[in-house]
Amino acid sequence: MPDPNPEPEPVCEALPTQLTAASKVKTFLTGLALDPEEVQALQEGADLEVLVGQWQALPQAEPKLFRFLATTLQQDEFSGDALEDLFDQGNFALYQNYDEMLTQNLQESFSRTALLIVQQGLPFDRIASTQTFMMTTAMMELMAFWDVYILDDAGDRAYRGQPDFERVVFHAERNIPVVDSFNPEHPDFMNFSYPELSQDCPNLPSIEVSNRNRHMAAFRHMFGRPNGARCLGKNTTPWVRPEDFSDWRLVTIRTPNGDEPVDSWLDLPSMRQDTTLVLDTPRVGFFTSPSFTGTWLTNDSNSFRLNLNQALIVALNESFEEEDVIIPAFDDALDDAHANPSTSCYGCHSRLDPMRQFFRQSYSTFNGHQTNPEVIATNAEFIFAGIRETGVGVEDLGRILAAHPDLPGAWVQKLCTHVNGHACPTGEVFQAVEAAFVESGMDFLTMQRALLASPLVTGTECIEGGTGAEVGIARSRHLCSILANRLDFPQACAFNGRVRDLVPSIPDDAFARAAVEPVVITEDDIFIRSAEEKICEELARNRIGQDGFPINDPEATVLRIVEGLMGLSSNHPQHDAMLGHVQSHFESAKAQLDEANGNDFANRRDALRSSFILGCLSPFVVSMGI
Amino acid sequence: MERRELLRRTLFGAGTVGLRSLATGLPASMFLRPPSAWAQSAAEAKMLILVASQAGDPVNANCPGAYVDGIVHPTGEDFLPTEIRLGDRNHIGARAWTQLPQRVLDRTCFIHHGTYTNAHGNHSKVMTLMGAVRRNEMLISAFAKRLRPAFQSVQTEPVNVGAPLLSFEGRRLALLRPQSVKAALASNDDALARLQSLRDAELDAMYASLKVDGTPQQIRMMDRFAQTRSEARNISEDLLDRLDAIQGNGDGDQVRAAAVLAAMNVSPALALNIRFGRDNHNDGNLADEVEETVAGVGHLASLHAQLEELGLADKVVVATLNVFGRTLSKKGTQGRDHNAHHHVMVVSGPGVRPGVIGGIQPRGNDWGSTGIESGTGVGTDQGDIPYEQTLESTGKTLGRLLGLPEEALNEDVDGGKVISAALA
Repeated sequence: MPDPNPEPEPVCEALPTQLTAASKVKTFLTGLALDPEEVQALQEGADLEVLVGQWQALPQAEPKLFRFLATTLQQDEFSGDALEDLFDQGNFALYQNYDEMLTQNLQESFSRTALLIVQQGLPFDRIASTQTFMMTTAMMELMAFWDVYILDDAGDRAYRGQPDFERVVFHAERNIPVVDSFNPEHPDFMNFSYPELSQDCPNLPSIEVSNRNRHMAAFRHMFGRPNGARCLGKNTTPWVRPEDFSDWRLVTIRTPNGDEPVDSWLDLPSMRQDTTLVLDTPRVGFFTSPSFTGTWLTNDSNSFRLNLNQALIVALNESFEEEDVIIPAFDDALDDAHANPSTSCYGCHSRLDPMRQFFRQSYSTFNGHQTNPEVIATNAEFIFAGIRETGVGVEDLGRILAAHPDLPGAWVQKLCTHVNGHACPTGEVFQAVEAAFVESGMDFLTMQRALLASPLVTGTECIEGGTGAEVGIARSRHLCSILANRLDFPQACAFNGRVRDLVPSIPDDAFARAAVEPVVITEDDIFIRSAEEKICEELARNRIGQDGFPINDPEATVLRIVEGLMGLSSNHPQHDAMLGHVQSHFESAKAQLDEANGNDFANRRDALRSSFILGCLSPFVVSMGI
Repeated sequence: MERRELLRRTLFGAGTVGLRSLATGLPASMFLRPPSAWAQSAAEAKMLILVASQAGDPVNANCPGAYVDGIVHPTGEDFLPTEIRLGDRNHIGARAWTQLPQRVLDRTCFIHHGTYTNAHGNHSKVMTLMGAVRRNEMLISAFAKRLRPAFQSVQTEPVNVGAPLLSFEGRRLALLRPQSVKAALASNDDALARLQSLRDAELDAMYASLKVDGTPQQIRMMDRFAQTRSEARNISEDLLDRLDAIQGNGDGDQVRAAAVLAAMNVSPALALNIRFGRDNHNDGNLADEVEETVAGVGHLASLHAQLEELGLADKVVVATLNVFGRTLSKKGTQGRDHNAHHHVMVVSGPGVRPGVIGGIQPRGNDWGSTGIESGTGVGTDQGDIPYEQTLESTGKTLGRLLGLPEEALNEDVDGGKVISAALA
């Protein structure tokens, strides 16, 4: 938590050069270093905002923007465990790694949606109000099944799919086409064969599932894992194919018009073609995505207060403060336990409870579709940060959040915090960026350009509340993009088990429950330092001798370390000095190794590896802002 | 000089200093400079290992002092009311707590108090004793700053291997997963390791070049890089071998990592997370509470055992601090809700007078803490510590157990007073 009463910082003692600032911005956006033409252009006074626009279009910018959106929209901590909780299952194992693929689909869905909103130049406030999402067929199947397989407020399970079925039978001997098994019109509806299981388990009898687990058993069979099979650890051939997890497309989820039926999860072939999903359960914006819902699992005690508060944090960068009390227009949505104005809970709950009602009207506390008319009839009211409005369900909550006047500034601050490592001063410059965002029709890329070229990020001008350019360690996502993109080695942070173990020691941006500010580490410690060193060692062992780092041409390799890895082009003011350091180290290292033994090739290789580590540990790689 | 070479020289060239260093895990430099290393006297200053969580675990529901009429406990043998000897008195608590050996119980105190909040989001505030620590510093970080001169540990900032959301002077502390600690600190002995000194020197030269035209922030960052590198070079190697036992990032691995890092004297304060039932609103039959409380007490026992093995039993105080406790009776065995009014800090280590401090009484539709009589530790609203000061008092008492003088504690923490009944 930032200290609310910090010591006054020395303000703008010395400002960085435009070159340093531009380097920081390009590294932040892409992981890449300035090329010679850009260095020259900047030295000749090029407009940074124009350059930022060019960098935004580079392919390396997309994964970084995606990661920013995933973390800031609180979508990237969804896990398979949450999937089990959402469906009240002790085990959600599917065919081979299908459960992992499905989890990843759910985790990525809204981040991909937001990325598309940004890339298509759509108003960014749609992150709160959109009902069109990037989805795969596999995910659509899950959403359609979830729509009819519901847990009510009491945690009781009900199936309302049409037609319902009394039993699911898995036949050991019969060969039934799977398309018939899921066809309600066919006599073999809900009769499945798994002859491959009988091969593994020759004495396997046919199994009939007629209890409350039958619906989930059928659903899992579609994904190749019949529930209740007694041939443990074996799978059947799934109807869902691997490509059903990768056919990303925009899908609109809408509620039925009149008597229109909902889309059935039983009809996989149609699902593969659909771009609209008709469901009773509404889905709106980032705050109803399975990933957000699974990350912030509600319960019958917090009853969506948690989700509402996290939604406010994501959309508006604001959270409830106990001291801030407003009396709601009606108090029927206020929990009895907190309805007494004399209790310490009242202030917060008096606003939270009417607001969380938007969620309650749409969902049960076990995240099923809300069907209780009494709960649906209980009024919802948004009372927050100067806005007071009534509505019904998550659709209205999304609409209110999208139109909230604090949303544009909140996202300027989120991006600025992400770049600088802490909240930015909200003076004139900040307000100008916010105004540009609004005037552009909430075009995120316009806002990003304006912000990254502004003194809020560059620090090249002294502004009110600013302290010059912020310098920080290259957090995990930035370090990995630097290494991957400058070395043209996409697996730089994952190419062996040792590196995969080391990377988590480098802090990455994250979010925390009820915290407005993201978790951002800007300074290193011995563990970060040690991990960086070990990663650089592993990379040196892997890269030296590969293309671009020849052992037989030390001069070329040293130059590649300086210009490629460290990102100092030949016309960069630091190029020659840094080249001198790396060259000097290579010669000293080679000489020291030669003293110990006469293996010229091995000594040259090791001296080059050591030079690579030197460049890799230089401030141009492990920090941002130098 | 390479670290291995340094160790070889100290082992074979400087008498027994290296051996002592290896035995205790403390950097040899401390034994070579005992007056400064132990400036505040090792007998007084203690390291802190804080078991912290934002889940609001039900530690308060089953510990000694929580077995009174009207309070719901899980069924099962481990939660039968059992006499637990704490010093010269027996107290009733869940049998699970007898997993702690008597020698640990003989220096364990259960302090009943409030945290004044029932919101998970106030975890960071509870870590500042709800704002009572000056400048909104977290208690663990304020203590680390005070203790560092005594230990001359490699860094002042607490090391966090699993606790949520800790900060130092407003900066978030990185979370060091045990498996990552193991990977990061493992040592090599090859050509690249032998060239380490040369690289360090060249990197320093690089920093010097860049500092010439650097901004103050850039210079500070490069100084920090040099400092952390120097600290990393100074870690005793045999302790690194102990990290080999780490297999994952679970509670047991956090315990192992914390013990080893304490022995490395990396920081005077460490933090980890041990589960005792977590956020168990819907914990039917309190099944998670049963499982995790038994396991959690077991992990505490393991932590003390490892500290003993490392020769740190008399140098480390272990304490628990959660964002809040849980309701004691309201929902029966259907789970427990947040309880702003009752939490129990379990504190064990040298200087702790065993016993139960404070008490509980009906409050609203559940239970809450009483005030405390500091001299006797009795729970009463007529004592010199009102309920509203019990959190601050618990914090100050922990500080005193760490060997910090009362004047320093009064400077660091507004309100509350040391509970002398908890001091041996």
